[in-house]
Amino acid sequence: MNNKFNIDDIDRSLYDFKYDDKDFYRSKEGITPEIVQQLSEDKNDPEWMREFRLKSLDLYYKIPVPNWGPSIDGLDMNHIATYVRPNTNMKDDWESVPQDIKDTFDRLGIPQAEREALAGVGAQYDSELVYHNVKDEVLKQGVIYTDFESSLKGEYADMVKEYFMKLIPPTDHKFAALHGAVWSGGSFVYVPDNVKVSIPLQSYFRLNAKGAGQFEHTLIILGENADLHFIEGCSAPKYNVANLHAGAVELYVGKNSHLRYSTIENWSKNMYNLNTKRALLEEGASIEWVSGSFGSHVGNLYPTTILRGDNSKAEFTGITFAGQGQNLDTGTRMVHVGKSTSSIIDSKSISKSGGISTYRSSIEIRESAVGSKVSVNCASLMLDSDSRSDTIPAMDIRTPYCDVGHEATIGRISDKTIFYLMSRGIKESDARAMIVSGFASPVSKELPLEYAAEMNNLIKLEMDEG
Amino acid sequence: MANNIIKVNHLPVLTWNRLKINSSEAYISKTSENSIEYDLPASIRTDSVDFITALSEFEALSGSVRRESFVSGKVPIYNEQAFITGMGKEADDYLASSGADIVIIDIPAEVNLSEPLKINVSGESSLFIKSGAGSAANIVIDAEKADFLSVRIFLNSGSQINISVSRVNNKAQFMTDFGAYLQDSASLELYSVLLGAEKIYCGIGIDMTGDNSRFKSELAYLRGSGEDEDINYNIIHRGRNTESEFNVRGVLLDGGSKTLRDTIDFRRGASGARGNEQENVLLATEKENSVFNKSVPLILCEEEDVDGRHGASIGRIDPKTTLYMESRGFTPEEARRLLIHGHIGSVARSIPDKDIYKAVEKYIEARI
Repeated sequence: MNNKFNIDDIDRSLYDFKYDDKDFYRSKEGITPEIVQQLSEDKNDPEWMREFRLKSLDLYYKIPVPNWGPSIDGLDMNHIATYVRPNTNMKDDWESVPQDIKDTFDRLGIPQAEREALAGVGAQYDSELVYHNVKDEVLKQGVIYTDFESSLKGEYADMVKEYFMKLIPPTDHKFAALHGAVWSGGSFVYVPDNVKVSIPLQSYFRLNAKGAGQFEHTLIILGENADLHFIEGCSAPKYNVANLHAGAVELYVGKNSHLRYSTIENWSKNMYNLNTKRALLEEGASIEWVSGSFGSHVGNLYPTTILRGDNSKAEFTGITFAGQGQNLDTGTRMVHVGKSTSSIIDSKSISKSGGISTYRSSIEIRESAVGSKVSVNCASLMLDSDSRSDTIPAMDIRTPYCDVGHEATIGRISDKTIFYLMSRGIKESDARAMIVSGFASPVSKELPLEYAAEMNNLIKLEMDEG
Repeated sequence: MANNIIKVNHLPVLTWNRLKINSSEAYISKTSENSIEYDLPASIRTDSVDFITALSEFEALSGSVRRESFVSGKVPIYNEQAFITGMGKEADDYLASSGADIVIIDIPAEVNLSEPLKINVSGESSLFIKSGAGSAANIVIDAEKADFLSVRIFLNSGSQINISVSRVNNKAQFMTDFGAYLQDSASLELYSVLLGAEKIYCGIGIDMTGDNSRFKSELAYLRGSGEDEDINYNIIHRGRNTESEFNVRGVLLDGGSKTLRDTIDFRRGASGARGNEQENVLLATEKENSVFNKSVPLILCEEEDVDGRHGASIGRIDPKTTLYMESRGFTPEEARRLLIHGHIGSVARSIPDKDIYKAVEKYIEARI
């Protein structure tokens, strides 16, 4: 029991490969009106979108960098290229995708996952989608799943205009404003009333270019009595300069509908992941957020749910693993507005090798949210004393007709638990691995089997006697 | 000239500004003449000096403690004072210029006082308490006439101080600011029953520098229409095997408002430390839209070998409990009164002064 065991960092070799991007179109570095104008022209934006981008840019200049959370001093926007376009158009079969890009997604297992477990896939490489396909049976149900640029000009253009950046307005914070100015790529999903999509859709975002930003926009609208599981994955190779991800995810969940939104985030350790996700629930609607945050140098990610409809429900299940050189500030925000709404939060974090992990949350129960219930459980595991783990939850309650329970714990792997397992014949190293795996299991058990396996590979917790 | 509007009760680390909980703004009002009344045994030394002199002396006592503007090398943390308190530096600056009454109370080493030391404070008062190694004392502060009470305690090795503060009937605004440093094996217990004033600010900052030191606190409040309480606990564990436990129990009646910030901060080297914070809020009103409750329970940690916990329970009286009591012959109103008494009366019972306990019970009865 006196020997010190080490738990290794996540094995990133699967994700840490890169291809030459010399033939790609790359915008000038920095963020100026000219760059935004050029981007809008290149994309052939509708006029309202061009104006929207420029207004957002004004806001970006005016809104200060937040005075809380991890420092982003290392992010110099003057050295970020906000738009990098691969030398291909979007395809709907993998064989037509340029070989190096296809190889990238092959190595990430996306085509295989599509064949085996998905109803549709969108694959974004740098700033544009390079592949998009949906199974016929899903199309026959009336489901729309397309790249975001197409959605602005197609049959659903009016709907997209009505909903785009209404949940996450550019006034929200500096990087929402930046997103409004330079967004590119992403997906639009519409599930009509009474349609239940039985197998998941997935979007995968790969940022290959050095010193670039990715600003994809995801808009999902579920009609009434609809059901969808949407999976989002992301990764990037590591560079010695900063990369930026400032995407936006807006989710509208109609009356009595259900959405599960799963994310496995594995950006490289030079990435500033300043992403924004928000959902609006109507009466009787429900959402499940399943979130695994493993990558990035700095991460700020707080999926937000506005429970507007009576009897709506939200669950957040998340795990964050902060290793060497990482400062991951994650959590969630629940805003209870409707009557008899409920939310459940189960958050885990692991810190090791100097990593900093922060759980930050906000539970807001408005005056109208009579009969609401909230249960919060957050647990943090410290694997050494070089690391740091903070818990910063806030609760703001404005009605007496509610019940809120909050529990948080922080500590290391219990010697007593290891001793118990060893007394049952299990080696100490195996006992520690079991405990850490068990700690992470609330997230992995919520994922489809193949993604749970991917996550378990991701948390390749190798135990060796030091 | 003292600035009458000050920022107090800072969160050690910042969070979303839109929540308006990173600190509070207090408008200081003064209603009573300054005075500190006490009748202490001859073994206790006292001294009256100005605030700046007393503060300098206590800052020198705590001078060996490592202080950081950044923890873990990169996380900024509120660190504006050389001697920590819960409210922060602007409260010190105010007292330095306001002409508050000051007394230094020096309990010599190995002196063990069996009877409680009773102190009545009025207006703006500041107590600086030194407990010598191995000493023990029980201090009861009646803050009924106080506008602003500031208490700093330096506990030498092995000393034990139990301190209780009560404020029951006075409706004027009340501010109370505590700060303490605990050396090896020192023990501090703090009981606060703050019921009366319309607006109460309470800051408690504890730096557990010594190994095996221990801090325990119980705080009770009751807030009704037009009343607000703003509380900040900031408990820092530096020594090994340090232990903190603090419970905040409150009742919000119609229109009551409360903000609680409570932080356990484990610093590197505090191996074996344990911290436990618990909050329990009873929402005892039948009217909708009639309470305002903010809670921000933080755990900050840069040491592996610790056990930190916090829990918060915020809700109405459990209908099952009232049903059980009704089945035992209580009316619904009797059951409600009994549960509210039990909820916050337990803290009042910890104060070693029967008159104060009776006054608290009488006050609760009148309010509910």
